[in-house]
Amino acid sequence: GCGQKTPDAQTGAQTGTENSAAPAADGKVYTLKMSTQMADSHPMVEGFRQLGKNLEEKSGGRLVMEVFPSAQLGSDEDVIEQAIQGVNVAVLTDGGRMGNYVNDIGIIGMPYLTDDYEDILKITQSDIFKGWEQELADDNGIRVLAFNFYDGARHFLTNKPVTKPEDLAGVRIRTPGAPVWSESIKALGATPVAMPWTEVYSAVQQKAIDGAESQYTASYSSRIYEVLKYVDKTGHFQLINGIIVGEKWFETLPEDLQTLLLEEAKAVATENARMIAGMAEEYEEKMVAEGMEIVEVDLDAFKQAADAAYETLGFTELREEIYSQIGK
Amino acid sequence: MLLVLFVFLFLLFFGMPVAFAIGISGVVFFINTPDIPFSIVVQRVLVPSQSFTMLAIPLFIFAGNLMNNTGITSRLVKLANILTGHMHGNLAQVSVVLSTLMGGVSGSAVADAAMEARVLGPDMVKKGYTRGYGAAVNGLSSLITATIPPSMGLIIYGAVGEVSVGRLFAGGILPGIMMMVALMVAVDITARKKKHMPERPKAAGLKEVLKALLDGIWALLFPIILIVGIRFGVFTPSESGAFAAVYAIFVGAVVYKELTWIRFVATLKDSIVDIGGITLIISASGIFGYGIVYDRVAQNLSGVITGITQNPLLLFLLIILSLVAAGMFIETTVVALLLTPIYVPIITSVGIDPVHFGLVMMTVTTMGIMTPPLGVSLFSTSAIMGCPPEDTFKESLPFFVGILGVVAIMVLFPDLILFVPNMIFGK
Amino acid sequence: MTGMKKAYETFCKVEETLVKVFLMGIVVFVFSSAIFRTIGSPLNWAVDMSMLFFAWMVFLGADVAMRHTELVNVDLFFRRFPDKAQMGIYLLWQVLILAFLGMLVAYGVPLTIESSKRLFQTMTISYSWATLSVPVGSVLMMVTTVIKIVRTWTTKTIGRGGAGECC
Ligand code: NA
Ligand code: NA
Repeated sequence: GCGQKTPDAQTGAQTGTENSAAPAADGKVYTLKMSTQMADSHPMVEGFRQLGKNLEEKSGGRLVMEVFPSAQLGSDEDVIEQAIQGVNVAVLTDGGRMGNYVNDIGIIGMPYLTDDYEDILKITQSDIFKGWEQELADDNGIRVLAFNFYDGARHFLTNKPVTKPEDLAGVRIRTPGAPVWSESIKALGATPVAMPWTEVYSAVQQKAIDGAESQYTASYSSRIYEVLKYVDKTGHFQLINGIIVGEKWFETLPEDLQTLLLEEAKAVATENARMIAGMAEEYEEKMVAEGMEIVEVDLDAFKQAADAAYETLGFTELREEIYSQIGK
Repeated sequence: MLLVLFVFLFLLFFGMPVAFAIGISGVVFFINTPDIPFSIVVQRVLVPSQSFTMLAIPLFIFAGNLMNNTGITSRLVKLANILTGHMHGNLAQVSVVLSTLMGGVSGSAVADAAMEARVLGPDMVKKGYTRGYGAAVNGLSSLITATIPPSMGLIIYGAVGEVSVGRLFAGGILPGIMMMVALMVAVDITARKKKHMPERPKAAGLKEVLKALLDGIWALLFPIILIVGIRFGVFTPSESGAFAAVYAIFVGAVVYKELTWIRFVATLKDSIVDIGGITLIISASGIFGYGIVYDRVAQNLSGVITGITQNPLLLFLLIILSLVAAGMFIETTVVALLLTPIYVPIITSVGIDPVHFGLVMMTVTTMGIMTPPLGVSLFSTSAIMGCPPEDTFKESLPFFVGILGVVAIMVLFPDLILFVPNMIFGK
Repeated sequence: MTGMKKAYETFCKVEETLVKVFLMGIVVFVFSSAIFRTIGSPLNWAVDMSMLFFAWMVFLGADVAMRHTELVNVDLFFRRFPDKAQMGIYLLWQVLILAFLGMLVAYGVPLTIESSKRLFQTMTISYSWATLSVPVGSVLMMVTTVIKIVRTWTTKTIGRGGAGECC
C-alpha cells in the first residue's frame, strides 16, 4: 500500500510553528528521501546511510531517512525542483546548481579556489557563505543542511601525458554541461564536451572524446582505467557538495528535529569528507595497479590559466573577498 | 501501488486510451500520498522527453517512414521476393526476409509490422492467404527488426540499465538471424499445409540476385555503416536515429531521386501523428514510474523474486515469465523503462551477463506487441488486413513456437549472443 | 464556414507546422552535434536545444495525434457492450481525460513560474521554457477533447478518427 497519512506539505509553514511550541509531543514520524546521482557503491552514499542511522537513533525513531542512489527519484535538477515544491526529499548537489539560485555560490565550483578540504571547511563556515545560505532559504525555498561533503579532487584523464595547459589544446574532454565547468575546462586549455558520465567509458573507447576529468571515486568505480592511460594530477576542482532540502518541508519539522538534522548532517559530512580525502592515495595505488600512470603537472601554469575562467564568469573580485575572509 | 495497478487495469480494459490510463492511474498514487504536491506530476510527465536516449524513439519512427517513401523499402521488397520466390508460401517468406533486411535500418518492430501489412497484405489476400495468416506473419516476423541492430528497445534497455548499447547492438545480430531461420521454417510448414505453392519453379539465378542486391545496396550498407560509425565514435547509439533519418533523406533524394518535397512533407505529417501517439504514452509512464521508486516497489519486488530462488536458470525463467506477462498488458518501451532497473541488478548478482539478459528481455517483451489483450501490432496488423484480432492470434501460434524456440536457445547458450560483441568490442 | 471554425483551422495548420519544424530541428541538432564533435568543435548547446524541441514536439504532437486518430486503446471487451453503454463509457472517459489535463494545466502553470530559476545544463536559458510545454499542450488537448465530446453527443456515434478534418 502507498501513502502514510501526513498533513499536506503545502500547509507546512503553519504546522511548523505549532510543532515548535510543543516539540516531541506529536509522536509523528517524519520521513526524508535522500536522493543522489551517485551509485550505491560510492563511499559518500555510505555516509548518507550513516546519517540516516544517526538521525533515527538520536530522534528516537521520529526522523527517518531513506537513501535513493543512482538518480532514482530524478536528475539532481528534478529533485531540487521537487524539494522547492515541498516534497520530502533531500538531494546532494554541487555549488554550480545552487549558483542558478544565488549566483555567487557558484564560485565554490571554480578551479583552484581551494587547495584542500580544510580550506573548504573554512569557506563553508565563513560569514559570506552563511549569507548565501540565508538567501537560498529566504528567497528560493532551499535549505542547506550541510555544504561540507567532499568527493576529492578532479584530475584530467587522458591517453597522452599532460603536464601543462598547452598539452590540452584540441583535446576533447568530457565535463558536465554547466557554464562553470565548461568555461573552466576551456580556460585550462581543453575542448569541453558535455555528455552524461555514464556514456564516457564507451565514448572514450569509441574515440568520440579524447578524455575526461573526474575524481577518483567516480573514475575508479566506472573502470575508466580500462580505456584511459594517464591521470594528469591537476586537481583543478576540489569537489564540494552539499545536501539541501526544501524550506517548505523543513518548516514542517518540530524545532528539535530541525536542529538535529542540521547538526548531524554537518557532523557526518565532515567525518565522511575526511575519510574520502584520506582515500586519495589508496585510490591512486589502485589506479596504478590497473595500469594507469600518474603524471605530475606544472600546477602554477594551470592555476594561472584558470584565472581566465574567473574573468569570464565575473568571479575575480569575489575570490579576493573570500580569501580575505578565510585568511588565505 | 496495488490500488494504482488496479485502477490502471480497470481503465485499460474499459477502453480508456492507454496513455491516459497510465497517466490517470499514476495520479492516483499522488492522491494517495499527500506528502507530494501535484506539481510533481507535471515534472514527471515532462521528464521522459528530457532524456537524450528517448529521442531515439521519434527519430526511428521518422526514419522508418522515410525509408518507405524513398524507395529503400520497395527495393528491399524486390530483393526479398527474388530470394524467396521458389519457396512455399513465398509472400510470407518475403515478409520474414524483408523484416531481417529492414532490421538493419529500422529500430521499431511496431512500425515494421504496420508497414509490411500495408505493403504485402493486399497481395497476400489476392493469392488466397487468409487475412489472419497474413496479419500473423507480418506481425510476428517484425520481431526480427527489434533484434537486428539498430533497435529502439535495446537503446532504452542500455540507457536505463547502464549497459553498453554498442555491445547490445552487436549481440543482436546472431539472434536476429536465428529468428529469421526459425520463422522461415514455421512459414514453410504452415504454407505447405495450406498449399500455398511457390511462384517460380526454381531459385533465382545468381545474376538476378546480384542485380537486386546491387539495387538495394544502399539499404544493405546501412547496418554496417551504423556499427562502424558507433565503433569509431562518429556517433553514439542514442544518436543513431538521427543518422538513420539523414541517411534515408540522402538516399531518397540524391541516390534514388524518389523523395520529392511533397513526399517529404507528407512523411513529416505521418510521422508527427505516429510520434504524438507513442510519446504521449511514454510521457504518461513518467508519472507512474515515480510512484514505483518512491514506494520502493523495485526493492520489495526483487526481494520477493530472489526469495523464491537463487538458481540462475530458474531465476531467468521466472523473470522471462514475468516479462511475457508484463508485455501482454503494457507497451514494450514502458516495460523496458519500468523493469530494466529492477531486473538488471538481480541478474548481474547471480552472474548473468547483462548483454545476454538484455537481448532475451527485449525479445520476450517485444513479443507482447502481438499478444492479447493489449498488442499494438496485433491490433494494427489485424486492422490493416481486415480481420478480427482473434483470427490473427490463432494463426500466430506456430510462429510463437518458433520464436520461443529461439528464446530457449538464447537463454541456454549465452555465447551465441556474446560472441559477436566480444569480437567487435573486445571482452 | 464560420469565423470560429476558420480560425481553428488556421491554428491547426500552425500547430502542425510547428511540430514538423521541431522534428526536423531535432534531426538537424542531433546529427550536427555528432558531426561537430567528431571534427573537434563540439556544439554543447545542441543537445539541450533538441531536448527543448522534444518537449514541445511531444505535447503539441500529442494534440495533433489526438485530433487525427483515436489514441491506442484496448477495445477487446469494450466493443462487446451495447451501443448505449459504449457511448456512456466513452463520454465518461473523455470527461476524466479533461479532468486529468485540467490538473496538468492548474499545477503546470505555477510550476513553470516557480521554477523559472532552474536552467538547462548547457544553455543559460530557463528550464521553464520546457515546463511550459506541458500546460500549453494540455490546454490544446482539452480543446480537442471538448470538440470530440460535442461531436459524439450530437452525432450519437463514437468519434472514430478524431476531431477535425482540417489540414
Ligand atoms: Na515481416
Ligand atoms: Na533493427
